[in-house]
Amino acid sequence: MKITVLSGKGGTGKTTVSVNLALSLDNVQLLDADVEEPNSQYFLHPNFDKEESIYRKIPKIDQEKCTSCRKCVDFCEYNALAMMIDEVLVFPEICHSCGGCKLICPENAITETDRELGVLKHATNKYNVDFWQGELNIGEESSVPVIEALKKKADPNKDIIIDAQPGTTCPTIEAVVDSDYGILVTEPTPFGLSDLKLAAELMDELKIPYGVIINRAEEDSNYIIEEFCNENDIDILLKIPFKRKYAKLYSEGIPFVLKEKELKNDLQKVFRQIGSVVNEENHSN
Amino acid sequence: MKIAVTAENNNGYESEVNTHFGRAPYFAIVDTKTDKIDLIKNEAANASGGAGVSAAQLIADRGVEVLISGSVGPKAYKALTSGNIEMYIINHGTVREAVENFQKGNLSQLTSPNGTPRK
Repeated sequence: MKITVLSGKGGTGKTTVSVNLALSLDNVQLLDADVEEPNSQYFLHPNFDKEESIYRKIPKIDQEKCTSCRKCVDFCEYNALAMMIDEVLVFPEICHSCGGCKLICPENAITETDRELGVLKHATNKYNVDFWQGELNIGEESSVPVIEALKKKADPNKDIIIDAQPGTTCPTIEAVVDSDYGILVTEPTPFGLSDLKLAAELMDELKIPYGVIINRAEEDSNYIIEEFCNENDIDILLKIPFKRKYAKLYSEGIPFVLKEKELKNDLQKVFRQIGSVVNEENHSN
Repeated sequence: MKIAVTAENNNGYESEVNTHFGRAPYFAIVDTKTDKIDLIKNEAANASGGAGVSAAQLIADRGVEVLISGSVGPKAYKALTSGNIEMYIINHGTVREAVENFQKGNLSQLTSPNGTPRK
């Protein structure tokens, strides 16, 4: 089963849920797809043992062949090319690697070269979680190819947990698009609710079943999320309470389930609940 | 000589200067020979990326030799330098004042990028 942990709002606890869920299960693989700031590593204390570069194509102009016709510059929707005094300049940072300029050049003056976009890292760790993380290089804008490559590391013989990037844009969609289920992590605040709505809308659009985990849950504010979930018939899978003990463990980089068996049991229950939803879904399709 | 000044609004010489090159709403193009002024809308002001490069292309295509603005990001700087366009700094005032101050030699020249791209 492939489960992606996502959220509209950042900082609600995707990593907390991903890491603790992974540590509550056997035969599991954790993929950190929050490639702009992968932080599951701070709780797994991994020893990285493998690294692979991810490349993308960027145009290279043969100035000898170029006749300054400007077709490539006019074609590029992303302003990654400019014509300055008869010379085409390439701005690799903003190039989306679509290859269009190469196709449109009538002089065949454009070839493509590889540029490192990011890296994938595998790690062993004392918790026995098969762990991969993607990292986008500083200055790069497009994390999707890194996430795509990361997902290819998924081991079909294991349950997969993907820690996605916050938000509801392309990187999050890429992480979740072929998952069996999405866990939407939120917090009981108006900001949490506002962005949860966007995430729920995204999941409806993608037609992937999902449920909600309320993190930093507090009795007197949970209603903010509960009302929305009840109205829209969305499962609330779990409430992780807002308590000092968790804050302290977090600050020390210690996964909560190592110190609290109850939470581990709860997460195993959540996993079984997700399993039956996914099963039902597969049967009805 | 043609001078480009980044402008906040479309009010001829009295337009207020804008201090962010790639995201300025207008470019005032002043021809110092004729004193003619043209205000061009910056179509790339709200582009998701590459606004600086696009703005540099726009003023280069108009034959501009000098840019007066507040800040120029790294990509725009590279494009403008390649286009032999000199950059001078201003932080407030009108387009008229910017051009006058440039002509009196009161503005300092930009020799490295001083702006950050908008995310």
